Amino acid sequence: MEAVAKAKKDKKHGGWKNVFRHWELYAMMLPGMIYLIINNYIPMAGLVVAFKKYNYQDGIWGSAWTGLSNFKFLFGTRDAWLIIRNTICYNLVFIITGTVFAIAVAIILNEIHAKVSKKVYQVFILIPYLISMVVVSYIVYAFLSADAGFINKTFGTHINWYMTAKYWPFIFVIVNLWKNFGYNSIIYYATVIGIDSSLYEAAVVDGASRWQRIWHVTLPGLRPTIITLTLLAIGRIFYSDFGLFYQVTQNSGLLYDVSTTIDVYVYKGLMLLNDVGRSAAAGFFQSICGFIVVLAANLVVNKIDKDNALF
Amino acid sequence: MKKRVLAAALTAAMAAGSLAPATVSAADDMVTLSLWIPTLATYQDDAVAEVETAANEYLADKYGLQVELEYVEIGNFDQASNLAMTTDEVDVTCVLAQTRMLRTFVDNGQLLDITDYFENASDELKTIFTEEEIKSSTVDGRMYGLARKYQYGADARGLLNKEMADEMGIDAKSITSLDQLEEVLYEAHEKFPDVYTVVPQSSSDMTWGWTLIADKQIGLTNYAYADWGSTELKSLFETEGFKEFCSYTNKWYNDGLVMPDALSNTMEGSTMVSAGSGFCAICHGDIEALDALYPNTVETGVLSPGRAASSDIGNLQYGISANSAHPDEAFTLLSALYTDSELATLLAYGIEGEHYVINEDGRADYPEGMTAENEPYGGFSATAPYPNYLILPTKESANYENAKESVDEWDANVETSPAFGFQYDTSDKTDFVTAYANLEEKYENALLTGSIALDDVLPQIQSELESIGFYDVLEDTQAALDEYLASK
Repeated sequence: MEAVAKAKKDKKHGGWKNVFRHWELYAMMLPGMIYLIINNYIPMAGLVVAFKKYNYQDGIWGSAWTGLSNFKFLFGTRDAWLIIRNTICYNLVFIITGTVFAIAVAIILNEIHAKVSKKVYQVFILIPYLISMVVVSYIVYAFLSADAGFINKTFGTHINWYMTAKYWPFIFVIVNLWKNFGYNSIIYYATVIGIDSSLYEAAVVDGASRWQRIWHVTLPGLRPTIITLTLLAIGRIFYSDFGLFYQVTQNSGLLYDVSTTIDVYVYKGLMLLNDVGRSAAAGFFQSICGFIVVLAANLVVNKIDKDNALF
Repeated sequence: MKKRVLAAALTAAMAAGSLAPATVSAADDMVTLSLWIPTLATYQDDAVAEVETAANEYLADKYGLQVELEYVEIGNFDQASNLAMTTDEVDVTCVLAQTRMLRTFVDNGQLLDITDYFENASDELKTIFTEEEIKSSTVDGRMYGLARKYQYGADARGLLNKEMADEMGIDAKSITSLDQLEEVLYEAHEKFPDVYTVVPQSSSDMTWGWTLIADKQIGLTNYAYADWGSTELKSLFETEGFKEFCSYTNKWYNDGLVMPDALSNTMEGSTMVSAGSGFCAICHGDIEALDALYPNTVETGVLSPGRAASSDIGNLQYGISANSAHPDEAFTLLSALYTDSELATLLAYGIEGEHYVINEDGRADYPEGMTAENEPYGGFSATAPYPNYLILPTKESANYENAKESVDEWDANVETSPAFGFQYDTSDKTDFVTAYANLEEKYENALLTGSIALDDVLPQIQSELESIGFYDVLEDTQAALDEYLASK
C-alpha cells in the first residue's frame, strides 16, 4: 500500500520535478507560450461580440446583448442554402483533389533520382503557393479575358468566361489545385523520404513491381500524414479562400450563384453595414461547425484505425 | 553547464525581444490629433512627412495642436478607418457617406455628436454650409459631420479621344443626347475597328452619371429608386431611365461597340480614352472640364442636366471619431480644415514651390516638369477628398475664375431630388438591405454595360426581388415618403 502511495506521490510531483530539472527548456518555451496565449487564447473572449449589438463607443463589454440575432444574418436570407452549399461542396472537392494530386506528385518526386532536377521541380511546384491571390486573379484573367485571353485566342473560341457561371466550379478547382498542391506535396514528400528504406529493399527482394511498392509500402507509410492533413482541412470546411472566390472572379455579379461562399457573403454584408457582431457570429459559426465536423471525422478514424486518430 | 548558460541567455534575449515596446513615443505638451484622409492619387512618404512637418509648425503657432496625417487609398479607406475607429487612433476622419449611409456610422456609435460644438462654433464656420448640407450631416436631429464643400450632384457627358474625334471631324460639344452620341459611336467603330468604341467609366461601372438613369438612394436607403422628378418608388430595374440606358448599351454591346471584357475590366475609362485604347467613356461631369483633367481627350456637350440625388449632398463628410480622446481639440482642427485657407491649401496642395507653384495670374499650377503622373504629393491633382475645395487657390487648369462662385451657380441650377431630406430608418431591416445589395450587385453592372439584355432577365430579377420581400419593404418606404412629402 505504501509503495503504491509513494508511486502516486512521485507521479503527482513528477511534473514539477521535471520542470525544475529541465527549467532551461521550459524557459525557452515561455516566450512562445506567452505569444500563443496573447495571440490565440485571450482574443477568444472577443467571441462574446457575436452575441452583442456592437457599438464602437461602448466597446466589446459595454455593447448591448442581442442573443442569437446576429446569427440570423446567415440563415435569414434566401441565399443561406446557396452559400453554405457552395462553401462545403467546394471544400470537399478541394480536399479530395488536393490530397490525391499532392500524394501523386510526392510519389513522383520520390521516383526522380537526379538531385538537381528534383530540387528544380520542388521549387517550381511551390511557387504558386507563394503567389498572392490578387496576382493569381490577373494570371487567370490573362487566360480567360474574353477579348485577349490566352484560351480564346489560342482555341478561337468566343466565350465570355466572366459572364458564364457554368465553367467556374471547374475553374475554381483547377486554380485551387494549381495554387496549393505544391505545398501539400512537399509535406507528403517529406513523409515519403522518411519511410524506412529497408521496407522497399525487402519488397524488391520479394519481387514487388514499382506499382506494388507504391501501393503496399508508400501509401501505408503516408496514411498517418494523409489522415492528419485531411482532418485539419476538414476543420476548415466551413471557411473559404476569399481571394479565390472574390478576386479571381473579378467580383463579376453574374457568377454570384457559384462564387458566393460564407466568407464572401459576410464580407459584402460588412462592407455595407459594418456590423462587427455579424462578422463575429459568422466566424463563430464557422469555427464551431468545423470543430464538430473534425470531432465526427476523428471519431470515424478512431473506429477504423485507432493509432492514426488525432485524439 | 555551458549549454544551460547559453540556453538561459537565449531565453532571456528572446523574452526581452518579445516584451520590448515596438515604439517609444516622444513626450509633447501639445495634443497630437490623427487626421484620416482618403486618397485618389499617389502620395510618397517623404512628401507626406514634409507636409506634416510644415502643417505642425503652422498648427503649433496658431492652434497649439499637432497632427498626424493618415492617407489611405479611397478603395481601402472604409475598412482601414473602421478598424482604427474601434480604438482612439482616429480623431478627425473623412466619412464616405455615399457607400455607407451616415446613419450606419451613427447607429454603430462611430461618430461623435457635434451638434453642441457646431452651435457654439464661429459664424465663419456656420455660414459656410447650406441648409441642405447641414441636413445631410444630421441624423435624428443631431449633427455628426460636416459636409465636404463641393458642388452637388453631377451631369453626364461623353469623354472622347481627341485625336480620333479630330480625325473624324466631330464637333464634340454639339453632342447633347445619347442618340447623337450613338451615331458618332457607330462611325468611330467603323473607322477605328481595333479600338474599344465604348469603355466603362471605371472598372466594370459603365457610368457614374446617374443623372442619365434614375433618382437613387431615396430616403438614404440602398434600394429605393424613382424616375427623375417622380416620387413613385421603384426597383432600379423597373425605372424607365434604367430600361432606356440599358437598351442603348445592350445594342452597343451586341454590335461590338462596348469592350467585351467590360464586366471584368480593371482600368479607368478616362485612362483608356486618353491612351487611345478606347474611344468613348460616359462620365459624370461637374464644374471642372473633363478634357482639362485628362490629356488627349475632348468632352461632349451635356447628355443629361445636372441633378443631385438625396445621397449626393454630403456624400463625403468629415467628422470626429466617437473614441477620440480629445474631442475639443478635434473640433478645433475640424473647424480649421473648413475655414483656414492656409492650412487647407497646405494639406491639399502641399508645399508651395515644391509641390505646386502660384503663377503670375494667381492660379496654382504644377512646378515645371511636374505632372499628375510624377507629382510626389497627390493632393494637387486629386483635391476632391479634402474638406473645403472652395478656399483653395484656383488651379491653372480650371475653366472658371472663382471656385466658390462657380459652385454656388452650379448648386443653384442643379435639379435636386424631390425626396431630398427624407430619411428612412432601415436599422431593423439589415438582412433585407444585405440581400438586396447582393441582388443588385449581381445584375447591375452586367445590365449597364449591356453584357446582358434587361428583357431577358427582368422576370427572374422580379422573382428574386419578390423572394427577399422587396416589394413589401418598398411599399412601407413609399408610405413613409408620402407622409414626409405631405408634411413638407
